[in-house]
Amino acid sequence: MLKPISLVLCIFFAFSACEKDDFCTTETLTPKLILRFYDSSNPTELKAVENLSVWATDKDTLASYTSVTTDSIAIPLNTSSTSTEYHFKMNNTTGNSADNLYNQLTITYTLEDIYISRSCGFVSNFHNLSIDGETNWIQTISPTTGLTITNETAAHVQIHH
Amino acid sequence: MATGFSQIETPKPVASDSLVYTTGYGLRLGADISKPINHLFNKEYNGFEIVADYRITKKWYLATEIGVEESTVSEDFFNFSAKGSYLRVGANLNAYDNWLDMNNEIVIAMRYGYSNFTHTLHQYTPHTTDNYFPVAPIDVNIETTGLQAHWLELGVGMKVETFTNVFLGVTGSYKILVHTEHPANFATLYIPGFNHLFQSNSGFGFQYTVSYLIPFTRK
Repeated sequence: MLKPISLVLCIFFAFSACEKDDFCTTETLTPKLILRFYDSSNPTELKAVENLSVWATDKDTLASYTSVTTDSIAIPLNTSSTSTEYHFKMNNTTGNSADNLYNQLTITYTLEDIYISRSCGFVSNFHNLSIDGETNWIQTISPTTGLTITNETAAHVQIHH
Repeated sequence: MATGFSQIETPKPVASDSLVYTTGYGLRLGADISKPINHLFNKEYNGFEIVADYRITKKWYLATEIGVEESTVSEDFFNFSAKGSYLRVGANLNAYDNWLDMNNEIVIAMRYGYSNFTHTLHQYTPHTTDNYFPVAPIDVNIETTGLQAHWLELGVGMKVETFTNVFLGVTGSYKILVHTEHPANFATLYIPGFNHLFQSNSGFGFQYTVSYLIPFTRK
């Protein structure tokens, strides 16, 4: 008499060994800083940067931004620090390294870590972000202070060159 | 060969059909032995639960469990622990028709559950989409005390009387959260007495009990 119910219970316990029902599908984890490049002589027109390479101080060049021609980049910020220093190299003449132009920018911010879910964990958002640096091939940056970066849905900073 | 013996059929008295089989009614006390056993194999877990029921009719029992639990859970990007006490109250229905004076049960268990607990976030690693800047775990040890949760559960199980008045039981339960409090900038993911709280606001639990019936009367 007890056998059918034993079978039912065995099946119940076999499938109740609880696996996560939750997978990290959130679009925005820790957001990257999105920069768009505009023409300094025509500030509403996008202008691609030629042979652009981007790297942070003491780091290798970002794999996706090694001598590329683009008008938009998304760069990660260091969540273990409250500032990140980036170097931007471009070359719009011959492509010879002697003609490379360099520009350095320092990005400072405060961090806020926000809980998302069991599977995604915590992501960092950036507040009071400001950008400061040389004006070599980069001429103007806007805005330069008071930025809040919580997602990657739109460009955060315009750079004119 | 002919014999001189002959059997004379004498009608035997027919056994009376009026014999009444009785089973014990009373208070049954026990413990969930799966929790200490789990602790032996998993030092991240500790728990103890006392179970009790009181038979009110042939098929219905009032039932309760009271316990304490502590569990440390590691997820992909953080780890935390939950610690607290809980109470479950409700009823058991015996859906099994016993033969003679046997006293076994197929249990349908219905409970309301309550827990008061502490959640501690020990450590997390910010979730980034690339490893250009390596991320290291951050130790925080943020403790939130006095959290409360309420839930309902429906269980299926069985109890078998192995020796006189000694019962072995096993029950699996499906739990539905009614309400829980969450720590600030974190979430309640494990509730003592409820087990892991999943995104669907549900959970599973099971008990393996040994209990002793103190019979007050037999009916």
